[in-house]
Amino acid sequence: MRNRNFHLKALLVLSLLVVMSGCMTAQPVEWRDTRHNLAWPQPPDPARVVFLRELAHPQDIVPEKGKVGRFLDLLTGDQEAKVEFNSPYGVATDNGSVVYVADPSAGFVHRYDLANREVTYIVQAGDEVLGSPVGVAVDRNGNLYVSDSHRRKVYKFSRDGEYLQEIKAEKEFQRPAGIAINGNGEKFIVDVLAQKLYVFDNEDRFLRSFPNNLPGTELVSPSNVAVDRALKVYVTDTMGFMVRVFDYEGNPVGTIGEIGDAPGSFARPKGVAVDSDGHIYIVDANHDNFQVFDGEGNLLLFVGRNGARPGEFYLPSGIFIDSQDRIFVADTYNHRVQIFQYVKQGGNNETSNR
Amino acid sequence: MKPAIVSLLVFSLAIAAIASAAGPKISDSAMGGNKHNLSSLNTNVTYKADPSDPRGREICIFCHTPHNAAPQTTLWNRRDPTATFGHYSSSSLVISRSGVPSSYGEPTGSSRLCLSCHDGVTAGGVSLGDVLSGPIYMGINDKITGIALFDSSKIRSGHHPVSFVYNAAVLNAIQSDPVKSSENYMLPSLQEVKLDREERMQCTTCHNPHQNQSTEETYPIPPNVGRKIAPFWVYGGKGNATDDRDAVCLTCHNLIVGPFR
Repeated sequence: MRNRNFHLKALLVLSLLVVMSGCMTAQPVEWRDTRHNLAWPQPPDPARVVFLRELAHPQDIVPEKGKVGRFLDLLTGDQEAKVEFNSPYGVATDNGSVVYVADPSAGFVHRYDLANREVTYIVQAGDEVLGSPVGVAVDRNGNLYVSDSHRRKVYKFSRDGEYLQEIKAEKEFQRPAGIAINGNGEKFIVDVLAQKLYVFDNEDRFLRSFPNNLPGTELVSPSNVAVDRALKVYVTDTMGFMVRVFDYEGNPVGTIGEIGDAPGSFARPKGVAVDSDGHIYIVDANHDNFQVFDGEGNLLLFVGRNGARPGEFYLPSGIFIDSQDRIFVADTYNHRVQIFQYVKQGGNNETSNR
Repeated sequence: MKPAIVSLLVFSLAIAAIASAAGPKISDSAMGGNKHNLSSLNTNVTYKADPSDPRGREICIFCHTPHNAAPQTTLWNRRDPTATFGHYSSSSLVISRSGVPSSYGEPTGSSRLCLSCHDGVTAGGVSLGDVLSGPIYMGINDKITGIALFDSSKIRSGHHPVSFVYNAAVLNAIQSDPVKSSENYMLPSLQEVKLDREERMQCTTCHNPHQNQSTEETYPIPPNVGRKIAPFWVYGGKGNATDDRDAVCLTCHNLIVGPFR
């Protein structure tokens, strides 16, 4: 079965690349879907987060609707062959128009190139078929890092999806998950079962484990990680029901949230990200929203509620904020990625059309 | 022996068999709780709450979120009334034959609680093993459609479809299918196998997260050599987890060779 699947997947990738290659002249995808006009908070309060668009199907991106599906039918004879998002967990971009989505139950990483209207899939690392990719991150050279919670490995790919190498720590990963890359090019990779993170330098050499184990600040169940411009590190402790904040050295400097069902608290905190003004965004799968906090841990806003419409969520997981303050949320059981824009106060970062 | 005594004896033996097979209750303080008890006092689990946190001694909070007495106000949105974050369900049709009331928006109800942790990161996605191919057909005319299709991709995450209505009308539709009619579909007769209040099959139909009723630590996890997982079957009357599993499955349908066709 594995071989069969392997061949099927290899075929998918090659075929889709072939399909897409004739489409280079297509207009880039608009970041803002003008059919929707959603902002948080609502007027008269000034909007701080606005809805841009969702990514739900390859057909949203690929110009000739249905072509992907038809091609897959032809290849596999299976009209149900799925290339949609199954249960997207991690999301990241190259700070441009390429969006990577780790999909553990589908077993591959979706690559949506919004400028070139290409959709491709990363399904294997060398000879090894991906098992359960959960975390993705992109370095400043466009290289992609993928954590695989079943294979217990972290892989590095080139910007073109070519497999480069495995990332290895002092010990074997037990269950790698969230990945974040700071301004120095250092990678912070969560190992859930090791209950800590591993840090790698710009050249992917192992540096140290993280954080420093001070009494009372041990991570119970880390899942996701973010870094800010001051090199602080934010680690979601999912079953600890909070985000723990550390300085670059790994010393605890604070916590955000506590267990509960009210604004400012968490039931299943997962993805974490930081915008250009240092606000911290934390997704809660159980609350079906993300909450925005200031650097002191004060609640500023929450966005979302249960549902399937734009701005609503169904057990969401990962979050990523790019250098333009675009917010990408893996809306797991709505099988899509939703994109929002953080609006600076008094600023004018209108959403650009790439 | 009188029939009444025989029955009593059989009953006692059955109870004894169940008692010996069942795992610890989630709240068992003598033996230690089961794996869903993540409190700091549980001696049976590796991954548990911080012992220095007083709330870490509570056992329910890891799944059942307590209410907050002191919500924060949102500084960017002072006009909104503070509220708790509610949980609602949406639904869409699952079985494609018209008139079959099997609304389906996976996951609903209690299954949300399970899948909010069993996501492949915080808790395992409980893979069924290697990758299988092809969709699961409810029958020639009645296959499960839509994004909730239990196809090869779904199987990778290792769960049977949940949150669908399984009542007499749905059963009738399945039984009238030329293929499925021979697969012995029925409403569960095993009393431990329960649908929820809205007649939906949920994770808890087959699994009891509060107490494993079957043999503990039965299934080895291939990637993590040496670790085993408890199946948490709702039923433990057969005395071993494999037979318990079969009994749970068989109470709704046959075990089909290569079930995921």
